[in-house]
Amino acid sequence: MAEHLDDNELLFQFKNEATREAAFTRIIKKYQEKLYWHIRRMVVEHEDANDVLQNMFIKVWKNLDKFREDSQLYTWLYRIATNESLTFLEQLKKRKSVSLSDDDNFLSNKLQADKHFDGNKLEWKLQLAIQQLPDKQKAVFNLRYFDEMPYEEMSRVLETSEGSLKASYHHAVKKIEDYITNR
Amino acid sequence: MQPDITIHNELKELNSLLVNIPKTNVFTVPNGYFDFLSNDILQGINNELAINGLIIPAVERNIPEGYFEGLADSIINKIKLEEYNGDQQAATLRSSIGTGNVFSVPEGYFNGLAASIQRKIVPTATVVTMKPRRSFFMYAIAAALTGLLGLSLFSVFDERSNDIIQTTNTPMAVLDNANKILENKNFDKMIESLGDDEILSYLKNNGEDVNAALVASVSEDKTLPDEDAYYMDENALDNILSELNIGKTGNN
Repeated sequence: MAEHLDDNELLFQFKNEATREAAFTRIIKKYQEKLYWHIRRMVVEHEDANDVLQNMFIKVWKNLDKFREDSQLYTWLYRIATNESLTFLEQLKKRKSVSLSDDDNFLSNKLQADKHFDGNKLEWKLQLAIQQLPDKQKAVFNLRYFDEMPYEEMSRVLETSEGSLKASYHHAVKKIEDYITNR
Repeated sequence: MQPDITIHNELKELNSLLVNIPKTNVFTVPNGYFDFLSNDILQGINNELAINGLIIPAVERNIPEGYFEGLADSIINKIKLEEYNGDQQAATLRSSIGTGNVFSVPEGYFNGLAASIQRKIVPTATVVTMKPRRSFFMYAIAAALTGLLGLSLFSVFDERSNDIIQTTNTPMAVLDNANKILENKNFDKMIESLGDDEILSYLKNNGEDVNAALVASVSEDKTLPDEDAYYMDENALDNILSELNIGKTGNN
């Protein structure tokens, strides 16, 4: 199976013209679900997540030749996915011409519009609480809580110090508790 | 999937209620979404890069080695070949056309063209510079004088030398003799042979006819009246003759 191939082997195949497309397909299949859910938790809607994911992989295709093998492909892909999500949300805010506080409601409204939404369940309340966080803190929380990413790796993804990330995560946890407790 | 113990313990240390919340994924995706995602992404990549003019379609990526090195020369040669073929086709076309005139004209058209044009030319009014009427009068008087002198000359000759030309004293006979002199081109010789006495004698015998000649001989251009004067004043000519001491005309 493609998923069992080592990243270095996939990168080697990608640099070969004859196997480039097949190697890239395997890279997509290996990381698509993790990256999709990471993006989906950031942008909430599936259509938006799909757009961001596809744009992200197009950028990966364009820049994979420049990828430095001294870092992990996995980390690099997460960095691109996170940056693409943050950029998307920023553009979404500009298009909607909404304030930061309104933006919270905007994403919460999207969440509540989901046909499976159930406000009485804690997991849905948790998602509503996450949408109240600033975008980058939201990324920190998601990577740590859902993706269970070590701070060291998060530091490479978000290009932020581990201490800052740890502090940001703890603050995010407190905000979420307050939201869930008080709603 | 078992939760990462480190992360779980971290939440415990924070004494967070999140420890008790199951990590259930509340989101869903369309059925089979991940099965076709890689194909969709590759299709998106091909579309995106094709639009941007980048080399992405598989058919374009499989190019022969050294393709781009000879690409410029190949294009130039192709352009030249197309230009040459175009020139050849044009030359063939021109030769097939020939230089024959496809038009025709009625038979004899050019023979009568000049005359036809002449007939259609409308005479245009030409601007004629009118000389002063007095000049006309001067020449008219001079011509009359010359005629009178000629006739007189012939009469004198007629009287003086019957052996030269047989004639009578009638005017018609004088004219016949004059014609003969002109036909023989003897006019100048005849004039030269006349003596002053003979001319004066003629003038004395032909009083009034000579008055006109006197007018011409004694008057100058500047002394003659303007042409309008003749229309405005019927006595204009008499007045000027009076000034010249020649006498009245026979018009009155």
